[in-house]
Amino acid sequence: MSCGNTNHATQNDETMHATGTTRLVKQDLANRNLVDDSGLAYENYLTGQSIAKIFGGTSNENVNEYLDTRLHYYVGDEDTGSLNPPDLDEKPWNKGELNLNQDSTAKGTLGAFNYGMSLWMDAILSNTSASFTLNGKTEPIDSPRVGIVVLGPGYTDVVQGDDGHFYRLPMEFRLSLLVHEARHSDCTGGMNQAQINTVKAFTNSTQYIEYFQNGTCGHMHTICPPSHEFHGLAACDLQAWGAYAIQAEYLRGLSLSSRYSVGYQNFLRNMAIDAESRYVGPKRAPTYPDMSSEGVLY
Amino acid sequence: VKAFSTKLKKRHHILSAVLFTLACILLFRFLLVKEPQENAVGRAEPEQPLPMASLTPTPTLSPAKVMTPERVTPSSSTHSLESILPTTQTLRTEVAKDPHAPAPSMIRFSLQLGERLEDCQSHPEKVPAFFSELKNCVSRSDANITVTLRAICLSTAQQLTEVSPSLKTNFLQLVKESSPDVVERAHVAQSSP
Repeated sequence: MSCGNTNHATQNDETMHATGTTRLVKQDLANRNLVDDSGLAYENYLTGQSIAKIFGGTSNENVNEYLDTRLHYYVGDEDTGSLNPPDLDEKPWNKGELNLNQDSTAKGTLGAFNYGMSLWMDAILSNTSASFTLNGKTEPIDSPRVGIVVLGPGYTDVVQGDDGHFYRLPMEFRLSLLVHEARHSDCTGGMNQAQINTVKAFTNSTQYIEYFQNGTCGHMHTICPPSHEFHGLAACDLQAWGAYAIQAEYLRGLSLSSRYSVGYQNFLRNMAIDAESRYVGPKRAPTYPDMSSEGVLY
Repeated sequence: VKAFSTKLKKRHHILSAVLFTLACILLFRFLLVKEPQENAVGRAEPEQPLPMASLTPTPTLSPAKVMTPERVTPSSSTHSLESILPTTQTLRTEVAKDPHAPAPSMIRFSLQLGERLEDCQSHPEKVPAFFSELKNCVSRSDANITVTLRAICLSTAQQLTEVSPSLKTNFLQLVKESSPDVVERAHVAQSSP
């Protein structure tokens, strides 16, 4: 696991450059109290049920607790780390997936990635006691909520439009990426030994994705069906309350705040529509999401 | 002696008032400087002020401040919606690189839409043309435009009715004429409130 420096935005002006991911995430977390006094919208817009069931309430404290329970380590461009065992994330079921030992350019436009859940799965499936060292500090990988998030070039504060102009990417959007990643830390329902044995026999990541697409441990994404605009890509959710749905609710809830101008609200709503568009399961029943997390079921 | 004493008392009062005012100013300035910064205390809270990039920092939200989309470099013209709509192929290529994030061109398009809305708020004469562009976007059904983009256009048209309430009837007509999957994805109201 290593993360080198990356340029985040194409530069055509010497004064235009994005803040590094390590610094940016610190800024974002320090300024993350975005919910105004009236709280997030009470009703979630996908099913009309209480949004409080997602975040445990509608205040900043509730959203912060949601994040802090699930994400603990943010790995940006200034951070260095290693795994023990070093080949922990090089297993057959990971074949073809993002490998952070690769050069940073191989990460493409990666915004954020919940590496912790992936590593916890690797440790369980390898029947290995694993740990990671980040900036010299070693921690065990012993829970699906170990909460290691890797930030890539897509976690940025500046984007360039097709017209060549640079736009400030709102912090709300980046925080929604973290809200999304946080959901991947939930192993809702846990994993039993039979499932573990099945996955161990896999030889590539496609089998892994297909197997977990209906499961809720890690709330993994699925391959989009032929009817979807991103058909063939692992960019969709079959689960009603997967990471995209939670991200959409957060963005939509924020967009209703009167502290934002009409254009800003529009941007947040558009991003909520984009996140929600990734859901390809049956029409949602007006049920509450299960936000619990369990580990291995013995 | 009495007159002198009265004069002295008056001067004393004036002097006291001046000193009191000065004390108040000093106290006020002291309090302003000492006021703590109320930031969220996260695990990643920086220990020292972070050196900022050469760009202006993203402003912290406060109830009094209304946040608007921010363009870092000035523009002299506003591009037509048609010219900034990302194609399905562009979106697919970008999503293939990072399947679980919005495509960068979708983000840019959304930021530009927000800017157009702001522009219409300041220049109401531009509203009809923008609505017409949004309507064209919603009504397209060729393979070069995704359902999500059309839904975003429809949702933006709804927000345009907040800028210009006289458009409500036109908007409801647009909803009626739109494909059901676009309307469903946009989560727009399908009737007058």
